Amino acid sequence: MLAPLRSWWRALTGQERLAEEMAPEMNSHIERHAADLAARGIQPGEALRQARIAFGSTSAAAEECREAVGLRWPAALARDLRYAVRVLRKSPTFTLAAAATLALSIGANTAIFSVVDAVLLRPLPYPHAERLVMVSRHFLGSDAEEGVVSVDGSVREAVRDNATCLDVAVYSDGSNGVNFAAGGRVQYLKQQRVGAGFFRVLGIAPVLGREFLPSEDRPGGPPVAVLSYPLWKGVLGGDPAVVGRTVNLRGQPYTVVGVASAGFSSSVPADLWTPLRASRSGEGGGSNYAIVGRLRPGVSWAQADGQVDSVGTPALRRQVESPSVHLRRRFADPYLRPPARAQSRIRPQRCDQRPAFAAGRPLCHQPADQPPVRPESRRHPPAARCGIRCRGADPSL
Amino acid sequence: MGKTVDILQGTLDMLILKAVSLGPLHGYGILLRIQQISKDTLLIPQGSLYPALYRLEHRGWIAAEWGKSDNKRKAKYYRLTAAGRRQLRYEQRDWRRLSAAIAHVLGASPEEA
Repeated sequence: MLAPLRSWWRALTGQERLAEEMAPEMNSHIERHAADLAARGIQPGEALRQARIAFGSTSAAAEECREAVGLRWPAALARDLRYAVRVLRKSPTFTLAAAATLALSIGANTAIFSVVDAVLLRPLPYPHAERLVMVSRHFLGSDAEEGVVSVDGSVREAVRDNATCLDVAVYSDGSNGVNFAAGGRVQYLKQQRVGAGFFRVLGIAPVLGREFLPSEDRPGGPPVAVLSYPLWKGVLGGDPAVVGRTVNLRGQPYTVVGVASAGFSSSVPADLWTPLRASRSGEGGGSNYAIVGRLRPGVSWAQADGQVDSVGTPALRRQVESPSVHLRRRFADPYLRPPARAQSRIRPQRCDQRPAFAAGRPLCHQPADQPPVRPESRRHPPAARCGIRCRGADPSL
Repeated sequence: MGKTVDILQGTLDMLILKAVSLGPLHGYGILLRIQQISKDTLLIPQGSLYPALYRLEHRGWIAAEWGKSDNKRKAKYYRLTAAGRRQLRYEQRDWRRLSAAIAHVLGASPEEA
């Protein structure tokens, strides 16, 4: 059954070997025939001539042999391809149109697949992402599968302090634009606020320094920041002594305590992280915070689910004042899926002139609500322009 | 030497199978054996022998192997495979039926018509 396929494949992959075999085989046939003729008294030269005539064309026979083992169609295919190339070369407009159509469709397909791959297929970029969980609010009887993952301070504290099955951290699922200044360079960047243990729970420790300590992650804690790797490399020149240096955020000095790992990105675009300083009231209050947790080793999902419900639901009911609300565990995918562009386009700039209006304030060269402007594209004096623009800048400046 | 006849279309394969069923042979040897057994009646066009050999080998009915011939020359020897032996049996059976039928037709007398 497989013999023809095997023989054909052997013939196809060993075409030269086949040709090498055919010629000697046929030549030896002719020689034997000539020897037989010579044995009957015919002159050797004449015998060979007669043997050749009797055999006929060896090349025609070889061609028939090739056909017999199915080698004709690869040759025909090659001929067709050569013909196609000739025709395409003759009509370049058509060729160009066809190639462009193909290129566009392939490009579109690739783009769509990349998005689908990044959004749906690829696992979250954290070690053992299958053990990462979120908690979310659900109303009994509602068929909303998704639930709401934002919680307030009381739920946060209840889960953090009592859900011993999980290693949890709180973070703000949003980032805001800030003016960043360090060493005479300014940049408009994305800042995300995350709680102590955020990097530990996700499983990617900073490459330099450390993440936030619980003592830094409380109201009134010291101003500290963790920089993204691209920010550190691009704006701070990859300074190995960056930990302990001071950078300016919104004009306030922050101490760098760490640099995140090169590939690290969280659920929102972020170039640097500051402590969340969550609390039940004041600046760290509100309910726009999410809890991410990692299932501790040796704990079952059922245990974790029960604990999340038993410790979180009472706090949640006090907050929402509804008996039908429940706190549930959910898998972190897709909530923690990093965005396609996780960082700002890091573009270092140097501003040498202090803005005239901002006396006493450090560095206000880049309007907070504007994308970075390349110095060479400026047509007006920077100070004047900056002064006008900064009027509408971030009110926190 | 009697008058030679061209072999019938489609019978060359069967003759080759039969020839190599008697023992491994190289191409020229197959030709000689067929001519010898048929007492030089059957004439095989030498050029069409090799395509037939390659076709049979391709179908797995005969297998080829390089070896040394009696006078120390390298030669490619063909032998019958198990599948080839089966095929030879089928072809012989069909051939007998066909030739018997044809002989019967040709031998018909006016009374039988």
